[in-house]
Amino acid sequence: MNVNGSSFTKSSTLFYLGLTLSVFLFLGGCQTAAPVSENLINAQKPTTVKDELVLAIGKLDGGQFDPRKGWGMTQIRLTHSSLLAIDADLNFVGDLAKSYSISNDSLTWTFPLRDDAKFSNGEPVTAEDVKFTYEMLKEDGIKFDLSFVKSIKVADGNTIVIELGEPRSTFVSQLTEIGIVPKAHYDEHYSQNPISSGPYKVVQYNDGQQIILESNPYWYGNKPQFKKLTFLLLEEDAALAAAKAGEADIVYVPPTFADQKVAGMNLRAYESIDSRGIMLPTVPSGGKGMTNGKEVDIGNDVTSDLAIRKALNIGLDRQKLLDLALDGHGQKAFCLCDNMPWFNEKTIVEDGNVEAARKILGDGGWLDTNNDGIAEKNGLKAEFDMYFSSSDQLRSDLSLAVADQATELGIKINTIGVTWDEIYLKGKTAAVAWGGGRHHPHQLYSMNSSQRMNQGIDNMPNYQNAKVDEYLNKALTASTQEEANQYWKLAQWDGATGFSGIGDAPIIWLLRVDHLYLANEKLNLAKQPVHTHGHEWALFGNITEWTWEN
Amino acid sequence: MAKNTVIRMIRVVTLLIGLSILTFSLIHLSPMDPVNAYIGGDGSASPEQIEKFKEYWGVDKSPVEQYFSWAGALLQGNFGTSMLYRTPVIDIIQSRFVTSLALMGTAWLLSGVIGYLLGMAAAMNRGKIIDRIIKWYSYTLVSTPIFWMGLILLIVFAVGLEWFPVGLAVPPGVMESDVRFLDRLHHFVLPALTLSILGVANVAMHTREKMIDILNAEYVVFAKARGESDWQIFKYHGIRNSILPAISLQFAYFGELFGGSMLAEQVFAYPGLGSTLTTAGLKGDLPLMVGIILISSLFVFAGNFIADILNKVVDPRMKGAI
Repeated sequence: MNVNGSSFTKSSTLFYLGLTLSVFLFLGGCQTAAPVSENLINAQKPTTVKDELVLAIGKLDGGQFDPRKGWGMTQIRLTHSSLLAIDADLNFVGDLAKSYSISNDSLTWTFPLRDDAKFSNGEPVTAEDVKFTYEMLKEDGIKFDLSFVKSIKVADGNTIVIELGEPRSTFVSQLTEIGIVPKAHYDEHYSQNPISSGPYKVVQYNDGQQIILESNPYWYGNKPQFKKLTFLLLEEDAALAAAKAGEADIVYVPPTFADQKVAGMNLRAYESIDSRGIMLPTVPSGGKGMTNGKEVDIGNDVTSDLAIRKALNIGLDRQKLLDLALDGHGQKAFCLCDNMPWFNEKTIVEDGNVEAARKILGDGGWLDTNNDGIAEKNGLKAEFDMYFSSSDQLRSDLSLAVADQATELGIKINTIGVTWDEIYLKGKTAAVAWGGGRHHPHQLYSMNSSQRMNQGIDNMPNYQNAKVDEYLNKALTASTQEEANQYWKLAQWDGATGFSGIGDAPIIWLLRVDHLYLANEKLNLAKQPVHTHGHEWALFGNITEWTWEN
Repeated sequence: MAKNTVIRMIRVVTLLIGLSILTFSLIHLSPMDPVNAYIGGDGSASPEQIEKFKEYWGVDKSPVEQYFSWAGALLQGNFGTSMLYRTPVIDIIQSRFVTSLALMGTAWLLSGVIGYLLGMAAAMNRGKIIDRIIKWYSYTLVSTPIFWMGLILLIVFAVGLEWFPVGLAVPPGVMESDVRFLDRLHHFVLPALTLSILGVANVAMHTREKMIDILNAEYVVFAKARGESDWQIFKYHGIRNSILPAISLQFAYFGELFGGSMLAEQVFAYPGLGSTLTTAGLKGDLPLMVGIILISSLFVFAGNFIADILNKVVDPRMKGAI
């Protein structure tokens, strides 16, 4: 900023002042302004065959196309292909790998690769690229934990062989999430030029505004009908405004907006495995533990009493919680994996049963002796804090509704809205509105195994049950998915114990969120599988089957 | 003047040092954890990886050591790397600052010029219908929250009339090379309008008060007695006496403008510095946050500094001092 007025004559000072500022503004504007183009075609111009979609489904620019930055983690990604994929019935099927086989000791995984796969720049996807991607992510270790992988080798016949240090059946999930990057073009600037081998390629990313994808001409799978996808990075209310102004074909809507009417669009609701519940510390107070590498206090004297947790599991009325927190746009949840192939249906209970809950409390020694509405045991009141992320409307509504219902059972819950940072610091000493749910069972292990205690944010309740640990380990080391699923089910409930609500209930799962979208009436989104966590990308798993019907 | 400038420069340096120390201490006292920001809620990092990460980013050191290594890097022009976007902080600030600057610049200019003219018009016609309309308009707008104003404009002009787009700075789905200047302007109008409308009211009311003082002064009474017309009074006495406080006010308004742009950008999903700062703050991206705070304080300082210089340039009585 160079404003030098000394050379100006008196009368022209004001004029130059104005001019200086205008020039200064003009320069500011020009730096972003592109040359005037002859292209007058507007993006919204109706075409006879609709092959472009404008989508406003959330702020989905985290990770910026680089798996090392978390791109693809827990999410479907349209840009990259991976060794395996999940089909509509939640089977693990080949993608870049034609198939896969696991050795009898479950340690050697072999993937013959397809020969016709190419990156968006036309270069073939080779076994070397796969090896490079996995080794790079293993070395980094922040986003994808591949510490159990011993070696990745390229074998004859375009085949990848991965040796594990210990058996791990849930490795399949990472095989579906890790997008392969080209060895020759990968460096720290990969985000700016993400060459990839998925059905779409990134053609433009306007920081904080939009991502434009075009179909990848070298994609080996079914050609999608829509050649171009524009993702507007808008917040929910701005997205709804965009829908009302006719600027978007699909927008994500939170449950509070579900009754909004937009001309030409209708509401699509899809069941998901995106679950919410209450995490309850299972050990008494006084100990120390770790969260994300930081030493924290752990334990809560009230929630560590099994009767409290079991009473909440059967006493809370999930349907009422759904109606309150989600306006009914959701499903009840009893485990982290309802309706998944590894779900144990015996964990479903007739909930909202206040009588049964009071009986469990009474048998456990929790009685309201002084008639203040709160049960006591040995002078200790059945009262505890419950943290929720204050920026999360659903978790805040859910926490308040849970606290309200708990008073009927004689349990007082004090809800406190804080940031995630604070939750990680204090979360092991109080209840927390928790979330989870994936297309794979690994979270059953990471949230409930005592081996995952004090690791990252895994096993927050510091839960430990030798029998459950045994089942989880057997599930993890199983050599087939069928065998693994059998042990996942036993870990939830084996008739006597388990980590589900009818067992030890370290986390009481309450509801699953339906993913809601307003979509153009003419758009056929095909048969959607049960959605995984994250409403942003969950919709796009079957994009090659989408059609526009005039 | 030279001496003044040197003192000013020393002041800004100490201001920045103080501000960075304050920001650092506040962040250190807050429960924000850079590890959480980097790993995110879904990470599966093992304790060994977290240790490695802490060592790499230097967050295992004491806050004082961290401050000095950060400040040392800053002296070499390195603002650090954003944990959220994983790109150099300075790149993010550059790209966002240009959009913000155009937005704030336009709003600043419009609110200054229109506000000054309205204030003048009101004062010259004190008590008449035009004065009352301007006063009513200003009082209403001054008490209007900026994001609410933005939402009203959005509902009326973007959703209702569909004259303007609902958000963003470029049209959706159009390649960078095909975006015309007009497109950018089209997206620019509503946020800029929101930001300037409120500034107008402030400036108008201040100018009106100042002008009324001037009109009550003896030299104006004398001028009237000499038979000068309203226009002559405005031209010879009004402008000259009211422009100095107006300029000071206008440049001091930089700080407020910055706060306003944060809200306006949020409403219109306009990717500027303000909305980036909000995201950085909420998601615990410390390097980005400190970077933006420093840059924006420089910006506000520059505003006040320019006001001082301009006061001297514009005021003939100060001419010799330069």
